[in-house]
Amino acid sequence: MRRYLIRRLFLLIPVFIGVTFVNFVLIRIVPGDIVTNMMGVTAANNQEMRARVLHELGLDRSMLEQYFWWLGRIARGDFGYSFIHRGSVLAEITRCLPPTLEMCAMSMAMAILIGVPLGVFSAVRRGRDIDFLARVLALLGISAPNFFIGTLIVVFGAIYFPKIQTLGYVPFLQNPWENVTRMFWPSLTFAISIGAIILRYARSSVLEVLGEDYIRTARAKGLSPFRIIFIHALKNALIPIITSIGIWTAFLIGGTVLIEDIFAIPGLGRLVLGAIQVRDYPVIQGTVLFISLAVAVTILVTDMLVMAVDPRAKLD
Amino acid sequence: MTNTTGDGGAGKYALEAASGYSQAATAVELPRAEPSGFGRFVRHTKRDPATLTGLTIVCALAAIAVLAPLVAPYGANENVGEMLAPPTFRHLFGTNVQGRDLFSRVILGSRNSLGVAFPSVFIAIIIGLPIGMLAGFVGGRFDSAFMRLFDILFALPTILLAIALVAYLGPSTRNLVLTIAILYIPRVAMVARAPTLSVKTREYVYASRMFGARPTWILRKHILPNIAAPVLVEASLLLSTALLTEASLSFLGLGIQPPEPSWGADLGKGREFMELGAYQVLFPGIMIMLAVLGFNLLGDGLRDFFDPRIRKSV
Repeated sequence: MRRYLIRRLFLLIPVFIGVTFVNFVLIRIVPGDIVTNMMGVTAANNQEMRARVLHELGLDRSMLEQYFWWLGRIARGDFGYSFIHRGSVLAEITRCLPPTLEMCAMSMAMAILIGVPLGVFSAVRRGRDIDFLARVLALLGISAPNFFIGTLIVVFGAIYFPKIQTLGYVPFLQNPWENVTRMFWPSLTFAISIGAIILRYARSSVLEVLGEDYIRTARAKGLSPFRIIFIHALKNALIPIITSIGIWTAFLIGGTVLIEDIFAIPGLGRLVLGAIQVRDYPVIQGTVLFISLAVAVTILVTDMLVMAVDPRAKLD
Repeated sequence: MTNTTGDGGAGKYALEAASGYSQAATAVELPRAEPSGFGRFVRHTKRDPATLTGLTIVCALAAIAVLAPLVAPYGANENVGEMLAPPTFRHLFGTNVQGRDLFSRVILGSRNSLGVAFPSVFIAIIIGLPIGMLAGFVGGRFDSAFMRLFDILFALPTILLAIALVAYLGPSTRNLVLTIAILYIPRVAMVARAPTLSVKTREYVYASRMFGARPTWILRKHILPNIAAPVLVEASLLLSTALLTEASLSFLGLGIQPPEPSWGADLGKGREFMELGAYQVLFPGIMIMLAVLGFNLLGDGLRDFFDPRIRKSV
């Protein structure tokens, strides 16, 4: 287990280098003159100002030097400073992290609560009406873009239930009840899409397990159907389900931009969007880097979880 | 991965066979290329309502996109004299705040949505397919290098990267196509690589080599027909995500720029006047959903058709 963990941590190094490199390259593909792009023509013509901007972006050094200079700064936790309000990028990220994290956690919990029981139920009742219904719902849930679901929730909420507040974010410590009730809607949006995917995985995984010999043995022993399904079958069907949950959590972290935009949540996604609109490159770069690393770590944690659940994986 | 190096010699085949067979066990087993595949697909479709639905939706969308100017009653940016009119027979989907007919915009918008999805997936295949085939066929360090690179690219969150790329490159249809294509190259390459690994250890490939066939010939005549099926399946699924990515970016105002009609952009813009009527967002959203559903169903159907053994739960 420990050896595997160490090996996986080593594998994170190339991923980290790749992620930082992609981020590093991004700012260099901006077409045209970057100073004009950011500060306007007047500033670009001012030599002193120009030199300062280039220096701050590190663009006055050679490429390789730039990369390591930048990497060194990242390693020290220095993600740079915003061009607009001069604030530290890392401070911005930590400020915007709680709403995003809360939304991810809540939607994942809801997605599991929707997806796993429905998937198991659908598999157990294979071929019946309820199975058909669950599969059609799953297909619709997968096909409906989450920004469409989110927009519909906001629109119909505003038109038919004007008393229900779906937009905005209230810090938990300020008003826990408001916080949870407002967070419910964006989380539900995500939970519908991801719950549908988990449902499909859970269904096919349980179906596969139900055909195994030990399930027949359990039945022959006269165990209750509940025990067979939830203790014997689900335990073994869990591995692919966990893997899919992990992958979609990673997707969730990377895909919060649209939902945060729709529900006006001041999280990481909106931070990126706002920075894009004012061409605040250090903020974009820092946030994208942070999210990419979070995704890589999530995938690693998923693998660890699978190992913890499945003794067979340890043999490797 | 494989131990083979680029040099020839008798030992090479033995080595490759030894390493190749162990891989074939883990790699995807492939159905052989069938004659009269199209006829069989039509029969398969008749028996499978899901595939039929998918095929119908995709064909209908393609027809709408091709015939858009003939179908749309108004121009995309034509002011019809009524602002924010609810759906009526004259304006099936209503009109927007600029007095533009939303039905016409949805119809004409199909050109932009499919016009981004198809070229980007096409470019991804044109570049990704040869890379994947070569990596699988050549093996060794070349293969490992590509696999490491793709591992890295897979770790990057797609939508976020697309947003960042478009933000840096500047929003335009061309940049949108390029961005999506770049993001999908590794996925196509992975899909092309796995079957290449198992096909290259088949007897007929060895026989071909014995007779002195050039690698390019083997790749074209033996490998390509065998990997066409999984790549076709992947293409259909990628089309749905490409369309979704375009819609997402346009929704955020980073994709297709107004006044060009686009489902994503119209959905995003419709939010501003949502209190005045849900129809502003309903129809563009339904179109995106239908298109995604169509490509997904078609992709699943194609997969079941090519390999019934890995039938997924639809």
